[in-house]
Amino acid sequence: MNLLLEWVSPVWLTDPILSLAFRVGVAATFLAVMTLVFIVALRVDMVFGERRDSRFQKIWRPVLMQAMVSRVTNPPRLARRDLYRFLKMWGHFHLSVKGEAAQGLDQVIHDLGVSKRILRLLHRRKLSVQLLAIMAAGYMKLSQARKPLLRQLRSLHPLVSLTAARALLHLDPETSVSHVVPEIVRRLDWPLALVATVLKEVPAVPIMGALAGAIRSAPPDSQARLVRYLADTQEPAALRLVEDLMKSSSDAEVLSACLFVAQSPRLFPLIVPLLRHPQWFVRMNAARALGRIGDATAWPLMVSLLKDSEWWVRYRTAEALVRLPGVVEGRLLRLREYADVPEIKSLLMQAMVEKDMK
Amino acid sequence: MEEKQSPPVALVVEDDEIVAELLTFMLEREGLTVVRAADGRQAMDAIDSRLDLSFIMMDVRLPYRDGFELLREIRRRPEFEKVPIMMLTAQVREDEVSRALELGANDYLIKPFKPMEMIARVKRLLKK
Repeated sequence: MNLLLEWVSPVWLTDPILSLAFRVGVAATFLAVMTLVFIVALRVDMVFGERRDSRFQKIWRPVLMQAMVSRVTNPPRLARRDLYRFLKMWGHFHLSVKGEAAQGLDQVIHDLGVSKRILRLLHRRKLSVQLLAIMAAGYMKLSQARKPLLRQLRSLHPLVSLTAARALLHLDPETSVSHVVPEIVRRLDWPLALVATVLKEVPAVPIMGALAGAIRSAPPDSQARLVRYLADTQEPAALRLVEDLMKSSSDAEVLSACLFVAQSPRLFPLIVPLLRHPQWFVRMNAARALGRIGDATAWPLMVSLLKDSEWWVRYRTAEALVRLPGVVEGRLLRLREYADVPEIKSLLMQAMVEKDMK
Repeated sequence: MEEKQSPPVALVVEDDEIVAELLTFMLEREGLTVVRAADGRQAMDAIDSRLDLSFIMMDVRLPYRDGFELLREIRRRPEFEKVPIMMLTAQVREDEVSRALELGANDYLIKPFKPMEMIARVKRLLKK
């Protein structure tokens, strides 16, 4: 007994310095053991997670791929804990396909009966879960998700609000346009490329018409940003807006944006005067626009720009000349051959090589 | 005895594993044997080692060497001059389509795509 007491509370512990050292040693050992236990637990969790993940992939990848080509009549039961994994894979496939394949994916998720669980996930704090739930709610056209999605559309987080905008447009483009378009105008933090992708996913008629209307009444600095979203659209209201802005605007940024999206040969007479605009980026975009929609009559106008004071204008003009519709290689070779400035020769040479010409 | 004809071999070059899996699934469904590469280097290794390729499908954006570079390289080789090549490109980069066609691609597919339409196009290319 005495021995035990001595072991638990040894005499040397009465010394304050030794006692402190002993306590610090015990605490350090305890912390080290706890850290080790934590690391082992994390490792075990990761290994089990990977195994679960691989089992999940083995079951669900073939099911979802099959669903894209034909109806899956008896999908396997989806475990509650696999919903996140499922939405991740399902969403990834959904972003890669369209048409009947996308409808097949929607059918599977409807057959699984997970709508209520997805609606609950919309309110989860974890960002990745919330984003997947928003995306799924949109693709599934869950009308009960409309209210929470409208709230999320005003979220300060750009990804949450933009994903909610996308989901709302999938859910019901007609009625969502009036909510989404003002946000497109207002949100400067939404990535341009992502917004452009979203705009291409929905029918052009409600969204591009509404966007064109909003751009018309926006201040010039917003107009310059927003006009770029009209690239590639054939929606008449959008085409009219670009033409009207090119006729009426004196803002160099707006004109530059209009030239960037210009795709109708009807705009040719409006582009030509801009080749002599005082701002170099307007001249550069005018040359590029002619390279897309011009014809052989634009040739002399563009050739004169090869001697512009700004290098970017000369460089982009050389590129545009090579792309100019109706221009044959021989004409370019002659221009290069007889150019009196060595830089013109090298600019044309580079542009032609990039296009796999001689 | 009748000699059994071996199935055509397709090379799928795609760094997105899910998309690569989907393309493989669709092509194998049509009886093709699929060889996969996840980046430009692996693609070149496959091209160097497999001269029996009947069809190549590749993404434009790839690690190490992009699709255009590969396309140029493949078309330079006489043995691959006639092998049909289909390029995959993202929706927002439609300008890449014209560049791919100029460099010798036979067809292109814009993501997101319709898998059945993709198969119809592949069949057309293989028939040619």
